[in-house]
Amino acid sequence: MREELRRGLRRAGHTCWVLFRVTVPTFIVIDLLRRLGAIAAVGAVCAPAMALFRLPGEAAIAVLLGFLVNLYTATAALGSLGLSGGQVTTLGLMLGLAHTLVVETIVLREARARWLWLLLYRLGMSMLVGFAASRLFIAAAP
Amino acid sequence: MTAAEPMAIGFLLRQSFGAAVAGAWFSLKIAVILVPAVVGYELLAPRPIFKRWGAWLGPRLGRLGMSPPCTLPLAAGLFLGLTYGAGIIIPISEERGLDPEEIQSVGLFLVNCHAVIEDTLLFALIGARGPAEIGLRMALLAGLRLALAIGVTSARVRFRGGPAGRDGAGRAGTGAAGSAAAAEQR
Repeated sequence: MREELRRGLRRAGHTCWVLFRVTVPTFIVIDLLRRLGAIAAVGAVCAPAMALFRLPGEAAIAVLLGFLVNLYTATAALGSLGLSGGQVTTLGLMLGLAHTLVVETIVLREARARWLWLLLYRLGMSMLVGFAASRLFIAAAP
Repeated sequence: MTAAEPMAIGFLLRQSFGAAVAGAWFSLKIAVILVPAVVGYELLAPRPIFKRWGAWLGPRLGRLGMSPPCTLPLAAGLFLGLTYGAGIIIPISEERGLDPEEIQSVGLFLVNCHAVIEDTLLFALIGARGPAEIGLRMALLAGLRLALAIGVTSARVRFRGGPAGRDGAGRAGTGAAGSAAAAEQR
């Protein structure tokens, strides 16, 4: 029992150290990019692409924040946009499939999954489901 | 050199420090659940009830290209989040020597569907009018992701078919058979 407890603590500590080593630099870089305006600039460029999903251009920033940072920042950015229920559902499905990509992809790599394949799958499936959901839940713009 | 430059550098350093603290806080929040989960796994893994549960789930997991030791990472990822699930798979695969294809199956399942309660609740709450709409949206968001996870992961196993896929299913089968034999002894 005690041996198992000790082994568990050692394993858990090792895993936490891996996470810590990965998360802190990631947060610094993304924060820097956001403060330099890089994320906002990319959001403006991506705006026309959002029309594919029947979403306003501003939603691109929420999608990028969700992809790069996490769902909390994404939903915080969405709160002020006044989107319809269908638009929120569409974004929820897109971001549910693909979010926090940097940290989660590095964790998958640490777990020794083929991370690039999974990353491409997430982005592709997010677009596919987003497109389908937008036709189902969002009325076409007049 | 103007006075603005060192100020700007100082500002940047302060911001980076803030981001580092946020990253450390994020890791800490994960550690709070990860540490008890890994320790709990170490304590529970030898128990017979855990083996029986694994035996029940074994053949079903085999269809998804996973063997019984994948149960805990799968459950942790499904309810707590991908980081927890993939985090827990690291020590388990070091201990049991999981097949890389199994890890890929767990990864594929979890990228489709993880942290179902927390993630879906976040979106279900935005602009929702009343609990009925929240419930409906949560069911829609979680249900579709779960269906995708099961569909895509089992399709991958069927499509690949190769030795890795059969190995996963075969091992799950022997796991179930072994547990059945253990149950007979009891």
